[in-house]
Amino acid sequence: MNTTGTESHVSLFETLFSDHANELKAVGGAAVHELRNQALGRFAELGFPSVRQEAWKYTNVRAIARGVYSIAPRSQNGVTAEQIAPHLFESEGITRLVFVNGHYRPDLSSAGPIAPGMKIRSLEDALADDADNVLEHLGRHASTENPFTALNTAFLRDGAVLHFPKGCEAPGPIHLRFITTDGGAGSGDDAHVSHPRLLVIADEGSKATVVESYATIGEGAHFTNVVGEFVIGANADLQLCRVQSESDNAFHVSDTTATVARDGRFTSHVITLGGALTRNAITATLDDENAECTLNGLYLLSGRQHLDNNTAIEHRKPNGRSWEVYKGILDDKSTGVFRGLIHVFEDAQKTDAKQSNANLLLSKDATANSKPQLEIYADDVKCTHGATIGQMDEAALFYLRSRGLPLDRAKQMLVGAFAHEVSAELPIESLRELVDARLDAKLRANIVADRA
Amino acid sequence: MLQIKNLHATAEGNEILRGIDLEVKPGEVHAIMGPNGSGKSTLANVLAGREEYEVTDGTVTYLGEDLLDMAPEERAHAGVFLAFQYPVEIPGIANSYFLQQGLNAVRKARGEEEMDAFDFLTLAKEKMKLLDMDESFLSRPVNAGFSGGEKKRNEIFQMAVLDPKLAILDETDSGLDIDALKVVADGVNALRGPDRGIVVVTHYQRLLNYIVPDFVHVLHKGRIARSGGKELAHKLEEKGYGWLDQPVASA
Repeated sequence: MNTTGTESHVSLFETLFSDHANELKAVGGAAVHELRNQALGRFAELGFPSVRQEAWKYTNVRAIARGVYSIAPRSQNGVTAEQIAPHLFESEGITRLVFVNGHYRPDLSSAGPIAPGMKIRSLEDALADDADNVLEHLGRHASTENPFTALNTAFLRDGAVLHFPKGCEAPGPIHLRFITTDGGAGSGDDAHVSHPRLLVIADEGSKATVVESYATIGEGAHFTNVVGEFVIGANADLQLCRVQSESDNAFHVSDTTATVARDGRFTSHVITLGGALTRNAITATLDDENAECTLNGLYLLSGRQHLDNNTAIEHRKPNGRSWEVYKGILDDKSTGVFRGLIHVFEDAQKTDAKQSNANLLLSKDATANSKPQLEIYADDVKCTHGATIGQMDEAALFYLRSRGLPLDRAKQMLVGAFAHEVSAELPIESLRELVDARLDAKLRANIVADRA
Repeated sequence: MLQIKNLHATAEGNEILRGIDLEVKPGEVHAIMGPNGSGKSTLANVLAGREEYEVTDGTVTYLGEDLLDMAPEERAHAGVFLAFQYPVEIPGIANSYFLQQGLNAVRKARGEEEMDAFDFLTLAKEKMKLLDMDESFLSRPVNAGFSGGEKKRNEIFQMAVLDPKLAILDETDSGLDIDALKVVADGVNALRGPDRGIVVVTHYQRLLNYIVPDFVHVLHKGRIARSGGKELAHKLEEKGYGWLDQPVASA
């Protein structure tokens, strides 16, 4: 399997693991550490993925594999509330957990109101409180067939465990804010690597919105490798927003799995603005009848940014519904990859699945790869999919200009309108405004850069 | 205000305009008629600055300036307005936002103060009444899902708000039933005035019953084949465009 010639890079992570073995062991007890050891072994077997593997065909992870990383110590305390304040959104009843270089920072976090029985904890705290309960779900949903997921499990230490009990309606969104420091420009420090781990359990009939957001302090390189497991109970309704605006030198790999029970609903909004190389895997499994999911995605890439959105929807049982809309805007020499698997099992009759991926290329040198993939084994289903890759609509551009809008402004409005369909679906108004403002700012910066 | 001299233009290498001469003075309404493929719409689009057409010869002077040297938005700022034959659908942008942005870009370019949302809405609603348009038009995305008639009405509405000096109407009558045609024509007539020039491009004489032109020009094979008063339009209606192929002396 290990065909990328990255064996030595695998061993760097093994060394990193043994250097930190004592700290890791101290979190969660023997059973958890056994899980880590197994995962490390699995990672060593698999190695870094190769472009020869179907799921990684368009994304070469060599740049990630060749990095030299360090794990920032928990004690490192350079980050202040002022530094994380920019770009935070406010929302009524919000609970915010802030993580710096992968470590939970209670001093920067803020607790909001909680419903009876609702538990919002860092992974370290949750493992200290009741490791047995956590282990009931941890690692049961995310597959260590993905080498990065195995790597995350090997370094499993901090993150968040959210539990919404039966019938619970969360009074406000739960915001998980991940900040990475770049070690200071020119400090000569190795790039920081963190492996945040999320476990979200929404019991029967509960309703909650979770926001993950990722940012860098500084412009340096680092590697975020996050795994999130979302377990959505019968008739529960969970919305997930992921907003990644890390530095343009960052590597970001995520693996999100959602398992949805009968009548349950999972909605994700994945917004990618930052990162040199980003790979977001998301798998939604409709595990029982009448479950539904919506996967929305939006990306705006410039420079040499590379993003791979790898999505899979598993329709396992009858009467499931899924909607998927991914839209991308690609400028300069950026590359966007979309793979959308819709897998309808033989038993999943009356499945209704709709998928679309639309890409807008703003430059001749930008690339979009779009790969819808339908595997349908039931005979009474409705599945539609469509992929488009196009350029700015010249007729629309002329129309706007003929009404007096300058070229830059006209472009910005058209691209904004293209993106708006996705950002408009974000369930929190202040987050939607923040995302739109960031999109506009990035768009403005690029259009001005093109002119210079 | 507008002087077109010996204008030649090509699209994808095909010469479509082959030497147009035309002068429009303030207060005049000119109708440009002609069969399909005669170059009417090309002329309208060249005047608005559409880049698909290449001007290969001739000059266009607008208020003393070289119009062909101006970007489409600069032409709008200078008071040129094209009502499109096929208005573009733009999902995701509200009609009112689009128009307010356009109006303010024009005002800014003219050194005028930008209009705030309240004043803009007051103006927009006043103009919508003129065109018998429902206020819901403002919040709908630009032309998206509009019927043919709604799109054309929206063009004239935009024209009324932007208050141009030179308005060019490209087949505004196509796709309109008689009631919509009357409403649109009333909207255009309300804008007639001593300072404004209007160029009406149309295939059929029908529209000219409602927007009565001062001059009629007939375009044929990229040139103006005949010019005259409004009676020329009636003659065309009667004899058909085939009449143009006969020598002028027999007219």
